[in-house]
Amino acid sequence: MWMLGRIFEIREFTLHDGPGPRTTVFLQGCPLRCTWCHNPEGQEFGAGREMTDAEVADEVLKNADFLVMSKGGVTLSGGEPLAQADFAAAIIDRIRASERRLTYAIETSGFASAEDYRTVVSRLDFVYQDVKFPDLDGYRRWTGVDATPIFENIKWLRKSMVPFVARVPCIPGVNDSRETKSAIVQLVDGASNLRGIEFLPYNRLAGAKYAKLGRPYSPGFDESRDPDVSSVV
Amino acid sequence: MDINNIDAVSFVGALDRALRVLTQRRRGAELLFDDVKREFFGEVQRRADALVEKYAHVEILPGPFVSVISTDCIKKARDISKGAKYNNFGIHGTGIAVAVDSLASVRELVFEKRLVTLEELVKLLDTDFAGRPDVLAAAKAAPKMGNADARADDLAKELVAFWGHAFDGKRNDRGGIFRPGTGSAMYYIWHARDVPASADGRLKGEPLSANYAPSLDVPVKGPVSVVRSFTEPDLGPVCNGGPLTIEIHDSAFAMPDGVGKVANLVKFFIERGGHQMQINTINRDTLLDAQAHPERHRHLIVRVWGWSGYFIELDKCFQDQIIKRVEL
Repeated sequence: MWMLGRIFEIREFTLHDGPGPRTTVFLQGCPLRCTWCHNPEGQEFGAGREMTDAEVADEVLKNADFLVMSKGGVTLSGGEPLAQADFAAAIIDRIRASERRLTYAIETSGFASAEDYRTVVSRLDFVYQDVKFPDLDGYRRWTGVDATPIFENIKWLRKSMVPFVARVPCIPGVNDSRETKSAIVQLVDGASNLRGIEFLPYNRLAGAKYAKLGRPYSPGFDESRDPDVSSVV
Repeated sequence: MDINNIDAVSFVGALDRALRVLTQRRRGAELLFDDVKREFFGEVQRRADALVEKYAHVEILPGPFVSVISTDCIKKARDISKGAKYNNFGIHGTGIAVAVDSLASVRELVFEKRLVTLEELVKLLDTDFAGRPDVLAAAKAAPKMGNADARADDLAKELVAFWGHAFDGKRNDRGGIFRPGTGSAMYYIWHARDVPASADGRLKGEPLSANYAPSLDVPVKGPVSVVRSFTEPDLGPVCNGGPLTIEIHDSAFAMPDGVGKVANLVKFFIERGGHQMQINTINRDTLLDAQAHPERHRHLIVRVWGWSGYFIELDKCFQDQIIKRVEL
C-alpha cells in the first residue's frame, strides 16, 4: 500500500539540515503563520504537488549512493512536516526499507498532537526542534497558534533518546532580547540528548517570495535592524 | 612542445550547420532522429579533420629558456619549438551541454511531440523563436544535461564517445597526437558569437557554458545530479581533459563542516570516473554588487575557465557569463 501526500520541493545537497550532505523533502502546508516565514509557498495545505510515499522515496534513493558514501541522509522539512505525520512516517519507513545506511532527521515547529510527534520522532536519528518563544503569548501574537502542544512535545523530546538541536530564529525586537533567549534556553537546557542551541538570523530575502506569490509581506517588526544572534549560553 | 589549447570545435556550430544541411537536402524517405545525429557527428568529424589539416605544420617562436629546462632539448640540441619529448595538440569541444540539450529538444519537439517540423524549427532559430512562444517554452522545458535525466545524458554519452575518437590515428608533423577534450578555454565566448539561437531555447547572443558544465540558467536539481550527468559519459578517451565547472553558494563554506561536505561531492565525482572538477564559490548578489560598485570588491576572485582572476578586472562579457551560471 502507498500513501498520498503533498510536497513542494525535494532539494538535493542541502548542507544545513543535519549530519553530512542531505536530501531535504519539503512537505506542503503549515498551521503556523509566522510573520517572517521564508517559505510562504509551503504554507497553504492545498498547494504543492501530490506524490505517494513511494515516489518520494524513489526520488530520494536516486542519490542513495552519494548519501551513503558521505554519511548523510534525509531531512523532512516544510511547511510543517508533522502536519502530514502519517505521510512523513510512511516516507521514512519506505526509504528505510531500502536498507541503505542513511540517517533521518526533521525540522519541526513541534506543533502537532503528542501522538503524531512521537510517531514520527521515534523513527528519527536527529531532530531540529524550532523554539521561537518561551511562552504562549509570543506564539499567539507572532505565529497565530496556541502553542500548548509545542511545549508538551519539547518536554517529551527532552526525555526521549533522540538527539536534538534547538533552533531559534532571531527576529529583531521580537524574540532577540537577552531575557527572551535565556528563557528559551531554559526550556531545553540540561537535556542529555541536547546537541546544541543555534541562534539564527531570520531570512531577510523572504519578502521577495511574497511578491512572487502576490501576497503582501508585512512582518510587523523593524526590518532595517539586525537581529541579535549572540548566544546566551 | 605540448599545446593543450591549440583550437576548438564548436559543437553548437556543428549542430546548427547539420540541421540546415538536413533541411536543404531533398529526401525520399522520412527523416528520422538518427539522421540528425548522423549528420551532426559527420559535421563534427569534418571540423576535426579540418583542424588536423590546419595544424599539420605549425611554426612556433623559438623558446631558448623553456628549451633549457625541457626534457631532451639539450640532449638533442633542438629548440623546443621544433619538437621535444611531448608534442601533442589539445583540441577543445565547446558547448557540449548546449549541443546535447539542443539535440534532446530536437528529438522531443520535432520527432516525438511533432510540435514543429525541422524546417520550421530552423527558421525559428534565425528569428529567436519569434511568434512561437509555445515552441520556445517547449524547448526550454525539454530535457537538460545536469539533471541525471537519461533523455539528455544518453545523447551526451554518444557525443563524448564520438568526440573521444575523432582524432584516432592522426598525428601532427612532430609525431604528436591530437587530444580531444571537454574544456573550452575562451572559445565559449567566441563560439557563441558565431551562432544564432539554438534548439534548447538559448537565444542569439546568450553565452554558452564554460568548459564541461550545464547550460546557463537551466533548472537543475542540484550538484549531485550535475555530477551524475557529467560522469555518465566515459571520459577516458577525451584525454585533453576539461573541468566540470560548478558554482557553490558561498553560504556552504560559512559553516564548520561545509568544506567536508563539499569534499564528498569531489570524491563522488572522481569515483564515478570524473577527471577534473573546479568549484567556484559564488554569491550572485555579491557579483551584481561588484559590477555596480567595483571599488567595494577589489579582492573578489572568481574562477573563469582554466584560471582565476579579479572579478572587477574582467571584461563585462566574462562577468555576465559568470553571473548567469547555475548557482547551487
